Amino acid sequence: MSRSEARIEGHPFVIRLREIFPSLGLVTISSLFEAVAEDLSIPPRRDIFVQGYKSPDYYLVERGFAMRYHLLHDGRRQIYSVVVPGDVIGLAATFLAVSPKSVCSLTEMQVQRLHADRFLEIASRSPPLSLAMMCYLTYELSLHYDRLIELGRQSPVERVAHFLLRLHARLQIVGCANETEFDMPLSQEVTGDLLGLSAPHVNRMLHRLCSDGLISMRRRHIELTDIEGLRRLSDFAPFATVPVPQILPSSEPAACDGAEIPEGAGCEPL
Amino acid sequence: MPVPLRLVSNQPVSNPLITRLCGYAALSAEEIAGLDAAFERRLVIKKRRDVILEGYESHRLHIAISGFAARYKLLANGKRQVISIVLPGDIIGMPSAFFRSSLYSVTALSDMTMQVVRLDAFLALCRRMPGLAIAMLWCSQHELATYADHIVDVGRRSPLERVAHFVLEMHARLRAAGCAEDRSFELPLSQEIIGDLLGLSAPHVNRMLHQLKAERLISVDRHQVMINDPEGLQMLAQFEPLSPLAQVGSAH
Repeated sequence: MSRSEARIEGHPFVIRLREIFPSLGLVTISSLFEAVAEDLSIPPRRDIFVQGYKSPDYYLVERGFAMRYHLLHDGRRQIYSVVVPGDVIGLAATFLAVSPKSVCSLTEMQVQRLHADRFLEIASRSPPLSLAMMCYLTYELSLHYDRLIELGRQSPVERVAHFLLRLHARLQIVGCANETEFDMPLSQEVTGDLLGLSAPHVNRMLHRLCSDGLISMRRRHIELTDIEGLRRLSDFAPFATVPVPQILPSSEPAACDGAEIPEGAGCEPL
Repeated sequence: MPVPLRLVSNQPVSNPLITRLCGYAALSAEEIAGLDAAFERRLVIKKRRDVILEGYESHRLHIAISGFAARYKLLANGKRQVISIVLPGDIIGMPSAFFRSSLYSVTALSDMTMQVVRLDAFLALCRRMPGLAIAMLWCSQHELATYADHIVDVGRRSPLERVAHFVLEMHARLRAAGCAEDRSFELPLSQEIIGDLLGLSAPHVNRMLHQLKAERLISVDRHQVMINDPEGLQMLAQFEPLSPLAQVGSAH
């Protein structure tokens, strides 16, 4: 599938990989897009993955939001993360025998569907691509740790403050937020299910943050009026990633293109 | 910074990380040798010593060879949340080493042996060896799925289900690293640490363990845990084994 370089360069997933891997070459990135089977738009409230099912594909999110959740047999639901533009969904469903969790769209979404087998074939020739994906997963892991701390040890108002700061930081990377403002993509019900609070409780906590002068809200538009104050309140530590080439030895070529590594050099072909 | 207590000469040992990675992808002898050679040295870290401290810069990975550790975060109000238990074959410093300063602290829960590798050396190795990079990608994916389960634990599982789920998860992870029998494993963790992990008090963990024993699902002899009724325990915990697709190589 041919697609313009400009579109690839501007894809939020590419922007995120570049955040960690600034010198990730266009050759490597374009090779990832070779695995794209089709562009899809997904309507809101549609299940993209269902817990327990196998899936041969995964999706790069270009626009829109989704939630990942787990359902226990008796209907208890825990939303454990929010998917924002630039995320990949369904990696677990292709790496594990079956999808461990469900993913459901919250808004209309624009995604690229990738063949997992095709991706693996490409990644097995291009270690920088695997590494970039590994770094991406590492970032996601930190988001899971966040949620554990929020649920385990933070008061409701701290949870909401911490969640808003992290969401803002994630949206800012992919250009969906400016320095202090963003449109909240989630309903208070979904936010509550993420943070272990009821929707009215989330509402009260948001109002409290407003009256404390930390944020201001107009419908779903949120402005973080006192970021320092929010950080202090919620023990927020920004994820300042070290760009990977900076920690790679300088003897390595600067451009991380898989094409430079001869196929089969010191490795078992997969 | 935490200081390792003493250095031990670099001698060949069976490495649980390699055992784990081989479960994800068919690694060549060369890749295994390369990984083995990248480790700088072995360290012994005594119980209750910090391996990594929050806020400090650390661009090294510590691979747990034996022993247990806890990854935790201390909040400004003094509360501690244990985020995860580090087992043999786990990498300490993933994700911390990717950030300018560590976001979490890691402290040894028992005497530990570790191998140390610089993050840049490790990444350079992955770049030379695509099979290793793929195995690491798989490994990261597996961890991500494991921690999603922890969120469900804390958010939605009842105390009894949490403890049951915890026992099954520890067993599955230790087995993947070649450190557990079919139905039993050693778990030298205090009930306080388990409680801090699961969001329960230590006496509560104790009561739940007693209930699991009374229902003949498990038996515990000192630190040795025996799973008597794996199916019953799985049903109770709604535990779904996160089985990776057998071998990456077989997909092609």
